[in-house]
Amino acid sequence: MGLLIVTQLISGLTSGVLLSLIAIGIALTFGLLKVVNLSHAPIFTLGAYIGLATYRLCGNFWIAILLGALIAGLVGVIFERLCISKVYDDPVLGFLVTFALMMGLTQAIRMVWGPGNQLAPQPAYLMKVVYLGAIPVSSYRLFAILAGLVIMGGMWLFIAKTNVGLIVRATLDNKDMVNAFGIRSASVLTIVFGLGSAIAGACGVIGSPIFGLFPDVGGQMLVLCFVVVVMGGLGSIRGAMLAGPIIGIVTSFTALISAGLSNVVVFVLMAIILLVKPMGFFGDKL
Amino acid sequence: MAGETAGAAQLREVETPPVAEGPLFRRPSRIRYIVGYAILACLFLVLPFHTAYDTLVEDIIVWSLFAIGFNLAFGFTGMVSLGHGVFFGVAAFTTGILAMFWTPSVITIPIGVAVGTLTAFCVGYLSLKRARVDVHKALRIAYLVLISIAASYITMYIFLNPLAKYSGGDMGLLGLVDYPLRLTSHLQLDLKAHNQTYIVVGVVALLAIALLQRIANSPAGLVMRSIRENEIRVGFLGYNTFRFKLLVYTLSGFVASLAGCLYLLRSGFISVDCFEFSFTSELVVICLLGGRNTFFGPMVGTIIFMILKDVISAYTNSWALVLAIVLILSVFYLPAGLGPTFASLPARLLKACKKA
Repeated sequence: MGLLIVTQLISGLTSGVLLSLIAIGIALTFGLLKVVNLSHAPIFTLGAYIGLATYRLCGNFWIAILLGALIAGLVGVIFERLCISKVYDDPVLGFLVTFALMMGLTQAIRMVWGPGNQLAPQPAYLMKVVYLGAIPVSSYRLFAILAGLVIMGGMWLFIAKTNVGLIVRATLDNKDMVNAFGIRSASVLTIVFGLGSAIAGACGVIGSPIFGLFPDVGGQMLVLCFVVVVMGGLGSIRGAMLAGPIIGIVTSFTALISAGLSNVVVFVLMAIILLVKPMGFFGDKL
Repeated sequence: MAGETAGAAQLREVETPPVAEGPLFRRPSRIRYIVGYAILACLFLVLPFHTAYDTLVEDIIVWSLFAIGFNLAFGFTGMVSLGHGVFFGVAAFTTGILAMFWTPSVITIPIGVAVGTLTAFCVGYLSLKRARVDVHKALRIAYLVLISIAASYITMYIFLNPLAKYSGGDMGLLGLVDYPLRLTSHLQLDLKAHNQTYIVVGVVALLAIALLQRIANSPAGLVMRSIRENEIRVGFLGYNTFRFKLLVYTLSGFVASLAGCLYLLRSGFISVDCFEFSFTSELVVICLLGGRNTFFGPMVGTIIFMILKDVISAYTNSWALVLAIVLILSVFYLPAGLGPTFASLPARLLKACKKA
């Protein structure tokens, strides 16, 4: 019994940390642009597939993560500049444009890599079993948690300690004021968008052995990410960091009973939280 | 004067772009009404009997009704919902399951519509209750979208797991065509007899569309559009916007349920695909393509969309990619949709004729 609980806890924590990371990207875009960014999902998938292609080419997992993040970030910037920047401040059109981007990119991925499941890159030196006391744990999951925490910490340092982070926080607070200081908030938005996309891409590569690798993997994650973002409070980074592991753990425990049920439980949880605390845990706060 | 403008700026919601539109209250002349509905009646009741593409025409009829009802919530009132497929599916499944496992009678259709409408009421209540005017507009849309996605997952689970024995699970509800729906002891609606279903579908859709147009042209329709433009001000005028939005949402859920039942009658088949929110997203594309600010825009959108889908699916598998490109292009270059262009076509033709 203890074994089962620890295993589920670790697997829930793994997906939770990765969910948090993707959700931070969505939360930031929402806070800055007031656009519900659905195109984050296929960018996650794209990162995973780029990682796979790189891994097949050169066999180095770290280069795969780097390249996955880089290309995902680049695609994010292109999306932002070409399409999403045209519909800022109109939530309906923003929703529609990102929805179209999601559909288009997912279909493009399906056309390039085929609709089926792919074997995710799994470096042998990470695929071991380690023992926590007497309980066997996959070392890859521990690595994923660690990597997720490192990226999250880096993100936090960037937002909280650097000058650019200061500008990002100021833009979240009052875009017009930032513009009045002579700083182009538009380029801040592009940077944040690119950064969020790059993190989603890296998560895609790290997460592909855990979530599987198929064209709709991003769409499945997206729905959970939204729950995370809404629970944590739209636009709140702290909220996303807290809500991610909660959702991950709840999902992994209900999945023990029935796979279909976990989605239902997650959404019932979200509905309850929305009714009790409509702004989420940390609504309107960074 | 300066004080007035400052006050007005406070009243104005920040994210309300001006919508290009004609006069809000345009009463069409009686001749236009009669001619328009005569053409519609021909399309709905005569065309299916005289074409080889009868399934396409029937699909266009059902989806026109579906899209026009959806547009009351989406285009008129400004509520983005991805949950209408749920109401469509719940109504169709309820009707089908009751007809197959309880009693093959026409009475199952109103029951199905009622269950679908009730679902719409519940989903609408949950997603609108907290989305008050003091909540940011983007957040309100996020609530609506998320709770409708939640509804789509929950109904999908219900129909795939506990009800799989009745709903047919992944396969969908098959075999309804073998059950003729009884009306009286002598009269029955045979789903295999296409001329019967054509007439039922055509008449019901026509009546429903006429009723919806009456509602859209009434003062209530004006309140809907006012809510889209500026909900706070409508509240100041004394309207309870929450109840009004819930009413519109339920009404459009009712139309979706009706369309679901008509679809079931037309095809004798329904699958759980309609619960997926990508199903409803096609409606969003249809409304945008046709013009979400006009009543008949969604119908123009449906006709274009369905024919495009039929033609393109024959050549390529990547229908979703084409759809995405069409959607982005229509957002950027055709924000008013194709509906207004088509609506002004007769007038422009007339003008051209007069000149010549």
